[in-house]
Amino acid sequence: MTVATVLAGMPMFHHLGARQRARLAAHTCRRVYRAGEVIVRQGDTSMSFYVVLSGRVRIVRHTAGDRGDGGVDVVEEGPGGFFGEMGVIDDLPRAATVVAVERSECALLAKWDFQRQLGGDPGVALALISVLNARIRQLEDRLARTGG
Amino acid sequence: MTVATGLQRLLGIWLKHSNADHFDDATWRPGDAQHAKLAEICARNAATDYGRRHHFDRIRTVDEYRRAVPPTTYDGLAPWIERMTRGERNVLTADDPLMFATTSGTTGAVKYIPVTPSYLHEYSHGIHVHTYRMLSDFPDILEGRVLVSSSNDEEGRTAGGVAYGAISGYLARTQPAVIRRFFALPYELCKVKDIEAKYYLTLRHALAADVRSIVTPNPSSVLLLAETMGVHADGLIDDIRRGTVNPAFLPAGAPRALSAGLSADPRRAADLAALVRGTGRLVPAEAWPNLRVVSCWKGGTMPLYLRRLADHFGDVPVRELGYMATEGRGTTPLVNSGAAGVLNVTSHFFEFVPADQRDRPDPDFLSAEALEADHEYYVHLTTSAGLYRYDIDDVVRVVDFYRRTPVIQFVRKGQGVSSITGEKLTETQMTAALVEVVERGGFDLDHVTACVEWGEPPCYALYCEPARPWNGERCRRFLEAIDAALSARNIEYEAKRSSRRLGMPVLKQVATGSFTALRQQRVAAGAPEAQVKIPHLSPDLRFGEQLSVVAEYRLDTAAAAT
Repeated sequence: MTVATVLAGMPMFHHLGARQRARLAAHTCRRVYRAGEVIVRQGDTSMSFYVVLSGRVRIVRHTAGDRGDGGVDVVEEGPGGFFGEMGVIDDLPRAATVVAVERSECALLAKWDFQRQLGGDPGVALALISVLNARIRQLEDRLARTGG
Repeated sequence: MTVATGLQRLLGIWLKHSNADHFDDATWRPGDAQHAKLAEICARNAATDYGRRHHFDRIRTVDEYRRAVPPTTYDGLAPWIERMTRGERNVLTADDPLMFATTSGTTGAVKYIPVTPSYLHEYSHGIHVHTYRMLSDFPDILEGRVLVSSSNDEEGRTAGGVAYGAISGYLARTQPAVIRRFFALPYELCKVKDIEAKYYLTLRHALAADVRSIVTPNPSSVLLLAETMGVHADGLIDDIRRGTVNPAFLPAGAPRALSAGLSADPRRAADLAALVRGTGRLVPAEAWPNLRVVSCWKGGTMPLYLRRLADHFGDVPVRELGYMATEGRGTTPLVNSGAAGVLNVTSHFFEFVPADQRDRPDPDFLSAEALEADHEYYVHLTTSAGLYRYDIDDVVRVVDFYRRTPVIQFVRKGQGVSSITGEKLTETQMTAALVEVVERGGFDLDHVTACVEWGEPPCYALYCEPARPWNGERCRRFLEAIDAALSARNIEYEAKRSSRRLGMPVLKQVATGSFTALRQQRVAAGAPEAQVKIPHLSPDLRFGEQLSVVAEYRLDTAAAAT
């Protein structure tokens, strides 16, 4: 599956024209991760936005003072899912650790290449705000369920 | 637009076209960039003695390079470098060294790194990319001054007559005047050896200025600067008011530049005095309200210091300075988050050995594009300083990718080395110091292991098992002797002790039989008895938890606790 095809299925990018999506896809790099491999780690430098092309990844946000096992399991993402969008916007360290649940392939979009898209297309920026809102609600729901 | 803003913009444009764009483009094709860098280094140095011995002229690919040139350490290159220090030409590098940059070596001897014009170009390239990103992200920092620390670049002369010292001092001295005008400190400050005087003089110059960025490798230095500001606030303000320098902090025969150009500034002094009256103290965040960024090391053992920076600097962003050493510049950080930077694929040629293969007789040597996320690697450098496949004994971790180029973070020094504040203390040095102290002082010491003890400042704790319990006087003599012996063997240890970034060692007497019990534990855990080795220098921060401490002696409190 091409990166552009996956982007077309994502709410954040589906309103873009085919040419815009192709241009965006051209700025990505593909990387494959083995099952169990850590893709990014909470607290680390954040340089890229990731889109899952195939496989499944688990996004785990560890609670303060508990950076080992037993963190809050936030969400799993499959093809069309994404992560790392917060770090490339606010220049804060990774907010979560992401692990490949199975062999997974991701497309990476570097911070400035991503920001150029945001700056050049307010539609992408607005869609991203919706996504971030959804992320916050998801986390709040999970914390409420776990009594956090 | 002010003149300074215009200059910053012009400088940014120059840095972008001369360095940053080249680096940025290369991050798409790190393999090509690395191959080009290797080819450049081999071609330039093909006619050197080292190049001829290893047939640089026949090398066309990375694989050919690996077959032709063995991995090496400083000890392997030392005979070649010694020839260079005697003035012999065309040994490791085709271009002659401008200076030798010194750093502490793994065997205790000082390492001399030949700083050739081409190496300086490689080294500066990383600085230029970093500076470009800083100027882009903080567009008014040149409206004020940049506080850049540096060390003496002329500690002495080699037998061949070439200066040796710190590369930071050389860079400060050779900056064009148009750049140097933005520096808060005169170059001559790097000559001051007395730490208290150096920090006072640094503040005497910098407090009078509108400092907007601080660039210094070690965050412990940034903390010391802040603490000195607090301790000497009144004296500094008085000096600024009167345009003077307290002579107590001017070394004998001090260069005129240390006190020249410091005019009386009653208004600035009044502002600073008002801050002290208002809050009872002087802190950098208030003294320099336009401070935009602090750039220093954030990886390895630095988080201990970083967590204290906010007390003095508020919410000023702290950006990693980059994984770098005298031997090379490994990364360029492009963002504030975390402690990592993008591998400098256009500066040097890098190879990586997976950390778990370190002890294999034939480990894999990987190129930049083959690295994997969250894996740890030992770094080997090939640079224009004549270092070929040089094992720098650093462990780094891949934390992300910028396009196709790994984003890496310094994790720790390699095996057998402990480095809390950059002192790179080796087990070899520790053992030699212990032997000397025990033999000369007649200490009846059966077992000992040193390890890091975190504190403010951190220090080395020596877990000692004497044949008979030592009294306080004996403990004191032992600690003073071991401190002196380590200082004599390791210039970085001595420097860190002098600057108080490293505390006096502490002694912890353990119960008789403790080390034997520890050995027994290792055997019980499955280790072959003959191979159980209790180190003299342990990287394990929790080493002491395995032992039963019966008495503790600290020279600073001069009190034993049981």
